[in-house]
Amino acid sequence: MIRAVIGDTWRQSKQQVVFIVMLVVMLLALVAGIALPRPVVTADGEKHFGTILSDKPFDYFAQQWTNEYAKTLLKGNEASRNAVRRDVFTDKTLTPAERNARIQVLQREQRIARDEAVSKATDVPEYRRGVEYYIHAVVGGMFKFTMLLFIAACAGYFPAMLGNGAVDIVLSKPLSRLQIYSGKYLGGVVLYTAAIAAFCVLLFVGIGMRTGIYHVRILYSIPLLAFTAMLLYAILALIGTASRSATMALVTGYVFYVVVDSLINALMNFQPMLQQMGWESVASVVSVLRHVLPNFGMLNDMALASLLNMPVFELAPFAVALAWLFGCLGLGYWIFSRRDY
Amino acid sequence: MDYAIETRDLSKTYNGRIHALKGINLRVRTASCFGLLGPNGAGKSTLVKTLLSIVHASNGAAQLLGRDHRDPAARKTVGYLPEGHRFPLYLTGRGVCQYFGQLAGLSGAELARDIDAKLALVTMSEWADTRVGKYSKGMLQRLGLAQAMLGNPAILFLDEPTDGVDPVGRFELRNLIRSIQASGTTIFLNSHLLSEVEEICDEIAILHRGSIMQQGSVASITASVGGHGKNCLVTFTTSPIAAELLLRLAPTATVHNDQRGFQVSLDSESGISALIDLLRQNRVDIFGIEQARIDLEDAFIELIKSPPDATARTNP
Repeated sequence: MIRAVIGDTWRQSKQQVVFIVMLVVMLLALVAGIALPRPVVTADGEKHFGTILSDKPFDYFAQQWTNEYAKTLLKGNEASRNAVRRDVFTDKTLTPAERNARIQVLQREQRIARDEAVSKATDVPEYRRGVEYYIHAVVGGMFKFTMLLFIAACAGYFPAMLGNGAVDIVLSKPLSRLQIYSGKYLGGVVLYTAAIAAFCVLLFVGIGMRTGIYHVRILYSIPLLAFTAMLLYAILALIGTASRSATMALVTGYVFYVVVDSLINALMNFQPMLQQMGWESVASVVSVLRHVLPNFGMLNDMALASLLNMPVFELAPFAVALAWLFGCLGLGYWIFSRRDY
Repeated sequence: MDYAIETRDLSKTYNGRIHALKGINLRVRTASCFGLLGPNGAGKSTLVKTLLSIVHASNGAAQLLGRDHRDPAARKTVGYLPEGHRFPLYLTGRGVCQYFGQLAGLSGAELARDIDAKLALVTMSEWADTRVGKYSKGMLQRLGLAQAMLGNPAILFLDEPTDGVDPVGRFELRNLIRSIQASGTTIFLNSHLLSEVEEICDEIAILHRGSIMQQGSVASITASVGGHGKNCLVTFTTSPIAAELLLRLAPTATVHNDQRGFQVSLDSESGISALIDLLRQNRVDIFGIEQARIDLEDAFIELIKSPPDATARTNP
């Protein structure tokens, strides 16, 4: 019976222009993503990453691989670095010499990260680095863009089911409200996860055939990307159930995915500066927000970092996202189960 | 099982102040056709929705075929045609039946056969593969009935089933409802069309301001408000003798004079016999004798006008 609800979500989706556009965008990204790269062998016999647009090597991606790796390593110990940074500027007992020493520690950490990234880079052939970062760019770009379309496509799923005259027959069937709610939720999740999984598998095979590098880590990113979509859809489901308005769900989805996310990331970047300026309370609020609101950017970064085999997995954003996922689903179901239709 | 539907003090209060249902006690016999009547806002749809757990009861209990109405399994053998339903516009008639049939736990070839049979029953076979967005109101009602009948439910809740259906379609639907009932299905009909309910239902209940005012057969309800079958209308020729005779009857009869002749209404059996004897003795031509009875509409209006507590009762 739940299968019927999931199947209906698919039929509903097929009628939505925005869902079709999302699939078309994914398909175009896939075709272009597979067609574009090719190996370029230079006169010295070395293989480089290249594109069908030029006969020359395109080393930009290999360099970006190293930069991204260094950035990720620094992010890994960001919390401890922030603590040191805070002490440097707020601890009044520090002498100028001690303060300088701590600043040097921070700078040294930055250098170490860069060196480690460069050293790691030397372990991975340049050609492979180029291909890996290319995959990172294709998957990342596709995901960020299609998530915007996914919000538009999914915002109406719950309000349409709960509309006057539409929900009565569904509720009169021998299904519990938990089955109905979870079926509708799973319908959206299954659709998007299937689309993402198909994209990644086909990209894995396609790029493997084109470049000779079968990068299995493409497949590793599927669970985290799907998890991000699940979280966003849980928020849409909650708002859609509470308001029974597709517009409200749509706006809230974009507010969370675009506005709140960008705001938190911007504030996080400014956090050291806020501390430096002595605005400790504002910096603390930012820190709290980071541990209270879901951060899709960080989840996305973690998923993409796993593509490059980077040692980065922060528990905090994942735990916050998990809490939001269950919180939204629980609250949404609670509203649905108690309401009269 | 004697009763397909039973409720005990079933109540629904919205926001703690709007009493939509006030302690409803109902018993609907298995395989009967039960009609629920009431003016707009009486709580008819709320009662059906509460029985199906679409609306949560505030108090009391209800059972569908012996099971607690809140248990999803109780709805396994229940079909429902809601008032003002909206089917997904992206589905065809067959798609609607398939979706709701699957939700009811049906599947495969059995469901496909059932869909064909039910669509044929409501004369919608030729529109089965057309999207519902192109259906007229009457077609949507017939499709709604088809989806409600899938799986041959033991109880069928029909909320204003003939709403928007033309007279011919209404006649067909009435016949269809009768044949469904004949096959052993309990019909719970919610309608404001009194003639329809009077024609189809074995038993009715009148709901007003959230309370059941009367429950029983149509005959017992009309009788309870004065339609005991003794009121008789005698029509006979207009003549000087007839006029003279009428003067004698004046205290106990109501007399009208129209193109057909005199019409005399009497409300006692002895009066009727006496009048007929008198007319025959004086060779006055009698055109007709008919039993005048209060119909359901008169009884309904009479009951609705009365204060609820004064009339609430169950008739045998």
